[in-house]
Amino acid sequence: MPVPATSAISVSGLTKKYGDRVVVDHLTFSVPQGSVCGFVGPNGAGKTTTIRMLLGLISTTDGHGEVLGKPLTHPEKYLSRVGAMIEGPAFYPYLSGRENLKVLATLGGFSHSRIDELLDRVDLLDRGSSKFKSYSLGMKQRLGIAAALLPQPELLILDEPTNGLDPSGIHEIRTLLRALADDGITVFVSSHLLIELEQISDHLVILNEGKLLFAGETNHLLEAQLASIVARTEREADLTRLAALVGALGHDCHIEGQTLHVFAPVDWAAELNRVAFNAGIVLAGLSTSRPSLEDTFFEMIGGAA
Amino acid sequence: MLVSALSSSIFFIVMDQPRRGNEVRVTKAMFEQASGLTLGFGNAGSLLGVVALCVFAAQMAQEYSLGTMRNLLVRQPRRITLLVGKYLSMASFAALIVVVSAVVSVATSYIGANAKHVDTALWSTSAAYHSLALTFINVLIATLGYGTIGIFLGILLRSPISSISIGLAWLLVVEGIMAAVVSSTREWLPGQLLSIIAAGGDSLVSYSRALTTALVFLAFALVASGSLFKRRDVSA
Repeated sequence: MPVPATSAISVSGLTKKYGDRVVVDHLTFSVPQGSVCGFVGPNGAGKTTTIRMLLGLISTTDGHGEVLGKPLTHPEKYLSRVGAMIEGPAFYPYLSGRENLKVLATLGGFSHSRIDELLDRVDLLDRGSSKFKSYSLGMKQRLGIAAALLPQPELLILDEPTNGLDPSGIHEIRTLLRALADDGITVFVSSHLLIELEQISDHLVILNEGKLLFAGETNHLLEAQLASIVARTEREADLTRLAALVGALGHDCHIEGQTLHVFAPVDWAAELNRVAFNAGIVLAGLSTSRPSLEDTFFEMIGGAA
Repeated sequence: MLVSALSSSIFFIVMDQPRRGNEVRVTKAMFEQASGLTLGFGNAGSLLGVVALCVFAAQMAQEYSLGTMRNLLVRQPRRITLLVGKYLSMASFAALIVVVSAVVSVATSYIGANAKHVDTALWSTSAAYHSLALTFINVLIATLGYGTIGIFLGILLRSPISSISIGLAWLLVVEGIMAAVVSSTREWLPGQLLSIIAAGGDSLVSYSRALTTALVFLAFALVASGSLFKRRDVSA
């Protein structure tokens, strides 16, 4: 697979085995710099294991890769430019939010001057002096994001950043991630909220059972899926006739109630309109809907929507 | 502080008590020597060591149980550097508790001496200060030794409860029983050796023998800790 010249992450044949159990199976993908890349997969797909290998927390069994142009085997060469939150926020319960950030800033050699700015950015400034153990789940999550932003990273790796957040919090995170990407920061985010990822992700990496199902631009994935064209005829009796015409032209369709659902490219809606007109069928309604990322995802992993 | 005060006080309480079994008899004459100033402090070494083992083990293991280890390693991926930093910070804490213990023990000794009418004239001589300095170093070595064992257990077991309970069970119970049944095992058991170092040696095992053997154990513990910490996957 050709590696773009400006990849924030590029891996080739990345594998992790525990004994005979293959958790990550020869992954090959790259994440362009400055993009928001969604990392998607069901529970147990190998997402967190992959992220841990990228961060040098666990060793690889096979394969190689680079993060910000530096080899995976030398995390000390790139981690100072990476911010990460893995598997939920983990901090010292008896230290305050501010003190926890100070610990990490001191360890990483970063200035403490930005800590209040970061707390403000995640809406925790007024609770910065409270002990971490007193925080709600959403507050803990936001502190984790603040910690990930400490190094002013070029690459941000987030594992389920919206866990525990209310809808306004999810919206804020979505806005924040998009703003970071607009500033040139690469965001690699895993999430179960496919609706959210669909809105912000330029790229997607989809895993299932340790194997790569898709890696590429989000638009390419969704455009490759067949749209659903929904037609309603003026007379219900014409539905069957229209279905037969559509079938004869080679498109799958089925009747649901008083509508005909046709699976075809979106721009075939005009052709459907023409076919109906030529057959003397009057359409009372014609609409198109492209499958969502969620629909596409479930179709790819073979589960029920 | 409590440990040191208790240790020093007990020696004055049992002073000149009739000998029972194999107990060492603590006499007034022993206290009136220059080394009398440090009798209680020297014997608090094992108790301080137990505290150090618990603190070092818990501090290390809790990073895994809380999940904070992954944050630390992202910010400092040079694992040996991180481990050395943590060890030095815990060693500083250990040194601090030894200093505080020394101060408390000496203060308690003067209080006890006054109460028991012990002549403390020799406690302000250069020989007494020399004895205090040596005892301080020995207690510090023993405390750091116990702490090093604690760090090794914390890294090995990655659980505060397991590392503390197994460490204490081995050092206090298992070694105690083995040493009581076969006294020659005191020459080889790490906890026994560290206690002997804290006390400056005893009749069965010389100080130099105890120090040399203990340092071999501790070197192994440090190398094993470093190796485990560097190579192990962090999945917590």
